[in-house]
Amino acid sequence: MSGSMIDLMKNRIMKVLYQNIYTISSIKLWCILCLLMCSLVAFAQEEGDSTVTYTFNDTTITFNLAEIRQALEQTDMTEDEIEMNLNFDLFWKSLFPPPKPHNRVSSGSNTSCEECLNLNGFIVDPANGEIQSGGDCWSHQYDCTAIPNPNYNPNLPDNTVTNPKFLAQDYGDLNYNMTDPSWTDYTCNHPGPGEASIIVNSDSPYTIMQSTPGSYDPHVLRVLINPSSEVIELNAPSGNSQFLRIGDQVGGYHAHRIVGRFTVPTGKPFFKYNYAVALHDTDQLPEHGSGNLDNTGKPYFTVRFRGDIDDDGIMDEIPCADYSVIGTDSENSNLETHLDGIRLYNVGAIGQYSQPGMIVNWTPNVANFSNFNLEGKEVEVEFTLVECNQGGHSGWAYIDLVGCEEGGINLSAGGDCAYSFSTETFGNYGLDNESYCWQFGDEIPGDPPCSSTEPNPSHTYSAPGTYTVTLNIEYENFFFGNNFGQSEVCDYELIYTLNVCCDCESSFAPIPGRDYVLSAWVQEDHPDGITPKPTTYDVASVVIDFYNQSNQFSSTTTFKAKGAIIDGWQRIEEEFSVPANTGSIRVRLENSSTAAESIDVYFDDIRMHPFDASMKSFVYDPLTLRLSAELDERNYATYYEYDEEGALIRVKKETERGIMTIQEGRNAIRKNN
Amino acid sequence: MSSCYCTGELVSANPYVNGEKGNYRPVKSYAYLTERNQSNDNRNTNIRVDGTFEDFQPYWMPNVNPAQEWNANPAQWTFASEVTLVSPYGMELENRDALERYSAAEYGYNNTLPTAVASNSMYREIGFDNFEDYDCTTCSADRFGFKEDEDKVGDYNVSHTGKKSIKLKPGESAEMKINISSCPVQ
Repeated sequence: MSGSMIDLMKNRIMKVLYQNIYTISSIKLWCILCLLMCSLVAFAQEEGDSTVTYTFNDTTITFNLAEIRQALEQTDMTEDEIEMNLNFDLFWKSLFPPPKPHNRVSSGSNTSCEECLNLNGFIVDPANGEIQSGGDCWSHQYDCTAIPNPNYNPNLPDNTVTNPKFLAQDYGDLNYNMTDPSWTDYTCNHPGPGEASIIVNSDSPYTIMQSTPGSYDPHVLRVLINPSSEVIELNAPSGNSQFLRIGDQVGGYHAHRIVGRFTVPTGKPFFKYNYAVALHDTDQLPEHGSGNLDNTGKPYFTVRFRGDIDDDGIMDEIPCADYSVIGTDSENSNLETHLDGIRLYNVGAIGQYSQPGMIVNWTPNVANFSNFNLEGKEVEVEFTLVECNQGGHSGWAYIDLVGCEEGGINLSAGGDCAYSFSTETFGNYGLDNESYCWQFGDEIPGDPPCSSTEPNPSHTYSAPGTYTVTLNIEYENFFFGNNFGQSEVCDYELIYTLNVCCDCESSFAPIPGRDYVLSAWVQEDHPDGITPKPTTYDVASVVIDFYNQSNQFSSTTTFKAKGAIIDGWQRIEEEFSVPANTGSIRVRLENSSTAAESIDVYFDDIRMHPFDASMKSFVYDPLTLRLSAELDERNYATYYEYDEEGALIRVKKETERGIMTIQEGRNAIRKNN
Repeated sequence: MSSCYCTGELVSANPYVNGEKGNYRPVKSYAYLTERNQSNDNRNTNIRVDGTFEDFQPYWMPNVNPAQEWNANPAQWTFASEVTLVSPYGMELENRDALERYSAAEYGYNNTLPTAVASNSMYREIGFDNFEDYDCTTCSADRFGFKEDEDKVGDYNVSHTGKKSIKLKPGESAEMKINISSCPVQ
């Protein structure tokens, strides 16, 4: 058999192995497989620890163990498919020699898989290798070995980032305390605003999940809880090319931590990040938690920030920036939605391997440095994932940094003095137990302290002016320092100066896109003897300038008088259309004559209405308040004249041929012989 | 519609006594449509009794149980018109009929006298300035007018109607700014 044929067969065997593992749903089958592989390993060990033989279709192939390992490392299964597929563990660890002994390993590094099972209470049928009863497979896994991360790839390209942003270190087991100063040893650089790329130490078990915006798999994290059960898809936030995963599926309890440093830009005190967490065996009891920080024994994920708040050169814990996800009891439920965004799963096959897990889908979060004198200073961020501390457990945390952002109040203006407000940075972030307190700046003494407690309120001002809008947000955060597990109430304030420009009473505001009529009367006072009396007035004009929503000039129209001059007055009447995007209009009355011409211009009775409307307008004497004129649909006047007693004596009508008296009468006048 | 506080300082007061609150105004009007009674009397119409409604159902009927509630019964009541804007000074500024056609009126002279009425137009679409009531108050003419160029308005013995007009000397102009639809956000 040629060498290439052997390679082909090897590959085929590997494929078959994978397919079997991948499709097997019964515990028994994969345990058989496990035992089979165990025996292979045992056999290999007999042959000098370096090769294993396998008969396949009457062909005996000798595998090099190192080759198998390499083949497994180069598997074409995606890491998504492998990860959290806890049933794989037995298989993996049967193939791989245990690395350094764990300090709680009881069975030693050379224990065979079978012995391992027996040690952990499994009763194995010697005839067929099936597990008969008992045992805790996870303990078995824990005791047998630790499993290298199958996703580990030392040749992972650096991708787009040349400058390491983060270095990470596996803290191993839980025997460290959170004030361990060694974290300061990591060299980290600031990820700029909007950057989220992370390079991890290639010696670490941390994995970069590469992604390309827009494509499917990079943003979708498939968590295969159990081959026969549901696949949960965690959709990573789009926009960043990479995100970070910390954690392992190695037996034994481990904690993983990654620390980064960045500078808080001035004016951008809000640090945004997204996280997702998959925790295994969240039903751990407090008695299992002696080494655990919160003494609950439960796995958890924490985010902490440090910065030099008091300018003493020492990094301080930043209050109200910390956050945590702590494993929640499954309450013996197989599968349930436990909290908003948190799902509990039965990790492992149904039955004896039933152990609950907890999945927190991608969740945005934000840390606020604005109240802590940190702008322009360096801040450390620390993400920690801690597995539960008994037995072999898995856990992953996914971190996607967004960067530093401004915070503020978004607002949009509605109609008359009505404004809609929303919080720019915090609106969608679902901080715990958020409460909002708005003051819109037009409160008077005696008003309640909060004019609104809505996250996105609307408010109508009664008058134009400058107002100071204040938003105070209170929220709860987990507290880490000395009172781990407790929460504290944090608050911050956003202040915004708002110029309310609305008109007082409901304003005159033509609707963009519709047609209107402008009408006015104009008279030009041409000095006698300088110019001949004109037949039409052309130094007087009405100019309408349109400005768009962003206050940019968009177009203009100019109207001049037309038609007959009636008693010195000539009418301007033109239709015009308000452009669709208009934000404001300026109407200008202009006199374009020169000083030498010395023509004075008078305007009167200016009006606007829709082109298809019919409008009449009225003029009163401001002292007597009697109706002195009525302007008809074409802006021609009807004049009403009164005697000194206030009785109507004359009605005159303005026409194209001049002003005509159409009615005249006197009453209550004594006949004078 | 927001009101216009021209009184300046806010003082403690009872808004119901001041008439700022507790004013009930008609909002919508409905017409009752039903058959009319008609009968013959000696082969003539019986106009003495004809023309009354054949039946009548009040719009509001008290509920039997629980007795405190009232039920609307809009079955035969046909919507006629609706008041859409009322001035803070009590005048109806805009209404809308059953075909969604608006009618509007503008008030001047300290919000006391109608200066313009228009059909098929919303209140926000009409404006009229006759330059007569510029010295009435600070709050009247800033809707459609040249308040910023008030100094150019006066009684020059030249007017198209009334007594006053706006006079522009050579090269001068007067300007009115109109914000449309929404106030520009800073």
